[in-house]
Formats: sequence, C-alpha cells, structure tokens
Amino acid sequence: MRERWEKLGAACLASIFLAVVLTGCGGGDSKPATNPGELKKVKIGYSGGTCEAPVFTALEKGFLKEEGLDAELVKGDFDNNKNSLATGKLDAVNGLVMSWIKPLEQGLDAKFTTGIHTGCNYVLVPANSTIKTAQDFKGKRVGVDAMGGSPMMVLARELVNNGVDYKNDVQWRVFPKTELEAAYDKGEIDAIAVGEPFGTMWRKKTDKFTVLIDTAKTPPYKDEYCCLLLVSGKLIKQDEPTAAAITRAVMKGALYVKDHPQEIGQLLVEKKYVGGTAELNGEILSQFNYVPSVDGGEKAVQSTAVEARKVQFLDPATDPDVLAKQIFVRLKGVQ
Amino acid sequence: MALSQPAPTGISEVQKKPFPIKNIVTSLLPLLLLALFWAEHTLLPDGQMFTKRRYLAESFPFLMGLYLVTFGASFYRKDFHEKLTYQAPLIAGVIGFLMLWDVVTLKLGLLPLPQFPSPGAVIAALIADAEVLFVSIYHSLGLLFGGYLLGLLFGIPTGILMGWFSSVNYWLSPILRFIGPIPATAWIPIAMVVFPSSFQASIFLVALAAWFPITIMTWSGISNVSNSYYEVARTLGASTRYLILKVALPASLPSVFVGTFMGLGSSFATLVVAELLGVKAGMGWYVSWAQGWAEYAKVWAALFVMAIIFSGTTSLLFKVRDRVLVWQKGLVKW
Repeated sequence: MRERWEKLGAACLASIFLAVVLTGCGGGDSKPATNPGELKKVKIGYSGGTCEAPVFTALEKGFLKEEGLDAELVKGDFDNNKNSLATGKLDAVNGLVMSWIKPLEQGLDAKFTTGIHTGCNYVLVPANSTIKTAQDFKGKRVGVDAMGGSPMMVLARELVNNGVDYKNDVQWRVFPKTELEAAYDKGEIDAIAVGEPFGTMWRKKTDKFTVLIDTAKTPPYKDEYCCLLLVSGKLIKQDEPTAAAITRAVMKGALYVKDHPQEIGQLLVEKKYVGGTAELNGEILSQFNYVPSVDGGEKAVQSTAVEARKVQFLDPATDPDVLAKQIFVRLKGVQ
Repeated sequence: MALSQPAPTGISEVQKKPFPIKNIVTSLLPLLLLALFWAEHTLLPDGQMFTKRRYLAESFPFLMGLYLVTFGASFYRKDFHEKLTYQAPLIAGVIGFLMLWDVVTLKLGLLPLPQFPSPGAVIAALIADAEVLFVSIYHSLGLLFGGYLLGLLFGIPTGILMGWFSSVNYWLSPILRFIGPIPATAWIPIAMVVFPSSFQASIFLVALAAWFPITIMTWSGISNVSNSYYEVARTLGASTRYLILKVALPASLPSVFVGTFMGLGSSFATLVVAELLGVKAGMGWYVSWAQGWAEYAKVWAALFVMAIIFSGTTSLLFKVRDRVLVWQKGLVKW
C-alpha cells in the first residue's frame, strides 16, 4: 500500500518536472551569431495604426535591408508591445510620447531615439455645441479609449493650462475606441478625445462633430512631435549599432512617407497593415509633419515630461528634467 | 503543532495543566519572522528604485506589538488560543513569503521594475489610492451583484424548464452550446447597440457570464433527479407543479449550487471586460488604468483587493448553501 503511494508521489513529481522543463526549454531566446554579410534579424512591433507608416515603409521600400537588417514585424496591442519591448522580445516600436512617458517613468526598459511625426490626437465636440474653450468643459463628460492615454493627456494639458481642474470638474469615461461614437450617440458623453484613424474618420461628419483640438494644427501642440521611435533597453545595451540602424531606417521611411503619402496609403491597405481605405490613409498621412528629427524628439520628450508632471500624471517624486534625460538617447550614427 | 488540549467539560472545571512549550513556540513563530523581516527590510541596502513613503518599515513595531497583544489575550480564551496556535505557522509562512519577495525585488533587484514591485510598493499603492479603491469597490460590487442576480433570475428557471420539458431542451440546448464559447469581448458591440445605456450593457455582460453555468448546472441537476422520487410523489397524488417545485428543485439543489459558484467565478472574471464600457469607477477600470501606465504595484494591490472580495462573496454563498443544504454540510470544503 505504501509502495503505491510512493509510486504515485514519484509520478506526480516527475510530471511536474517534465512540465517545467518543457516550458522552460521552449523559451530559449538566444540570438545566433550572424556571419558578416548576413542580415541581422530584428523584431519591430506594431499595432496597426496609420501613424506607423514609416515602419511599414522602411520594410517595404528596403530601407531596413539597406541598413543590414532582416526585420520581422510583429502585431500586438499597446499593452503587449509595452511588455514585449521591455523584456527584449521586440527591438523597436513606434509610440506616442504621451502614452509612453508614464510606463517609462515606472522603469520600463526602453528609450526614445528619435521623433517621427507630429499630431495624431483630437478632441471632438458636438457640431453646434456650446463647448468652445477649456472653461466650457466644466461638468462635462469626455469619452476616451484609455485612462491616462495620449488623447486624455492632451485635453488634460489644455484644461490645466487654462485653469480647469481636469480631475474634479470633468468626468472621464472609458470606452473601446470602436464604441466611442455609439456612446456619444446615446448621449453618455459630451465630447471625445481620440487618436487615429477615428479622428480623421469622424471629423468628416461635419454635421455631427467639430474638431476643437487637432494636435497637428492647434498650437502649442502642432510643433511637438507626437510619435517617436522606441528601442528596447536590452538592444541599446547589447548592440547599439543595430539600434542606430533601426532608427536610421525608420527615419528614412518617415521621409519617404512625407513625400509620397498617397502611395504609402495605398501600400498600407494593400498589404493589410491597417484598416480603412487607401484614400483615408493617404489623407491622414499628408496631415502630419513626417520630417523625422532627433532634436525634435528630444524636445518633445522634455516638454511632455514637464507637462505630464503638471497634470499630475507623473509621480510627485519624479523630476521631469531628469526623467527626460534618462528616457531619450542620442545613438551614435543617428542625426 | 496540532491542538492537543481537551476542551473543558464543565462550568467549574478549569484547565489546570500548564500549556505545552511546543504550542507556545509555534505561536511565537510569526513574531520571530516579523523580527527577521524587520531586520532584512531596514538593514539591507536597496537594490531597486523606491520613491514612495516607507509604510512597511514604519509599520513593523506596530505589527509586532499587535501580535504580542493578541498572543497575550489568547491566554484568556482556550478556543482562541487553539485557533491561534493552529494558524500561527500559516501566518509565519505568509510573513516569510513577504520577506522573500522583498529580498528578491527591493534588496537584490533580481526581478526588474516595473513588472515586479516590492511589497512596500504595493502597500504604498493601497494606501495612496485608498479612496479611489473604495469608490471602485463600491461600483464593482454594484455591477457584480446586479449582473449576478439577473443571471440567477434567468438561469434557474431556464435550467428548470430545460431539465423538465424536452421541447424546451430541444430548442435551447443548441443555443447554449453556441453561446457558451463566445467571449465577453465579442458581445461588446452587440450589447452597445441593443441596450440604451452602457451601464445596462455592462450588467448584461456580467449576467450572461453568470447565466451560462447556472443554467447548465440547474438543467443537469433537474434531469438527474431519480425517477423513484417522482413515482412516489405521483402515487401520493402530486400535480406537475408540485413535482417540479417540491420534488425536482430541492433534489437538484446541490447541482444548482455548483452552478451558482461557477457563475460567481465567471461574473468576477467578466468584471474587467464589463468595466470597459464607460464606468465611472470600478476594480476592472482601475486595473486597466494602472496597466496602461505600467504601475504594476497598483495592479497587484487591486488584484489583492479583488481576491479578498471574491473570497468573501464565495464564503457568503457557502453560508447560504450550508443553511439550505443543512443535510449535506461538510461535503464540499471551501
């Protein structure tokens, strides 16, 4: 009888051990050494937004290959990309500086390397509404797709800079991006703060919406870089030249998008990188300033850090200037 | 560590034997581990960035004092003393685990930020966001109970009908099989269109999550009632209504309760999804926000609170079950 229990116990331990070994060994992530002349494998994350056009362009037009990189594009949502970048499963991601400033402050292991383009956030109000200035937002309900995300920060900045307490005077309601319009129709929210492509899609409904803030056109946001390239801290530490190569390739991609927005809009839809029509995407791309700039990126990080501290998104203990220096890096060989 | 004192058998009989040393040592284990933890937390240098207020470090003297007082008070009540001695190793284990967690994150920095905050960071998050958490708990409980009760209200009758009438079973069973695997997120667009307000849509998602297991287990319970019960009741002149309500339903109650437990778990799991739809506050809403900002200390704090609530509501459900199924007490352990 005792023998039976011992055998059972041993069998259980053996199966647990086997499970651990199988899961542990399956995840081996060592990059094999590349021979000279071979392309270096890198993984770039994307979420399927039009903004990320420079990344797709860099792949499709061969800029990444020129820099000696064999890039694989991996799709994931913002949360997945955040964690993958932090653990080195992704090497680079295109990201909105206002969405990433808080995770980076919390210690996420990634850094900004360059600014890619301006504006892709909108604040929309009803077409004939009384909401015209920041003060009019008092007591209103604003729909966003994430608490503390980039569109919410834009409106929070606008409110705080005009003396409105965005925490207590305004109600924020979170809906999935695709349901924001439905919520608006039901009268559950009085205004919407959102990014692309919904911003461009909804602004066309001029009998329904008016654009109050368009970060590509409204000062002071219009000169601020909104999307920057992020590279994983692991890659920067272990292989800075590759990090620089990815950055250069994406910057080339951005310049190409600037000069050929319609062509790239077509390409995005054809290759099924993003949804929508070729015309819509081409239109979105031509609105933003796609001149990549390392200086612009650095400045955007600095001003975002200061503003994020002002709207109390950042911890009280964080010094915004110190943070800005920590999370932006000028890689060698990137201008 | 087991209790070995016989309970006093009479009003005047007082336990004259001295307490065994082993029990006293066991009861003092948590104190020893608290002291170790205190030493580790304050004496070792930090290996991880920590900018919050050090609530944990400040609380040690208070915690040790509290345990000493509890320990001393336990000498006045026999059963409390036994309970304390019984729970002491578990308490010590928890403290030991917290200490290990602290060493691996805060002191050695083996596990990186932001994914692995130290226990002090989680406590700081709990205290700093206490107000938001309370409001969120209140909203989540409202959503949870509203949805769950609706799921019960629809689920039990549906299950009874399916178990009793084969025609109902014929039409509803395929629907159930089809609805079952559909995740809550897939229902969001439909719910948003069908229901006039997003709160109703949220309630619908939670109710649906509860309804499914409750219906299935009720159906299963009813259809598994032994035929002999019906035969006996019928020979004594029972009507169909009597057979359903006074024979089938009580006999199927154990199965029904299994369904209610599963429904409670499903409701909890769906809470995060349901709170994507325009809530003002809620535990799922709070977790999504903290996750978006990579503030994992807050995520862990919220999950801890949710675990307590889940544990509490399940215990409540068990108490209800124990009263209703008093003849089956002790069969299933929570």
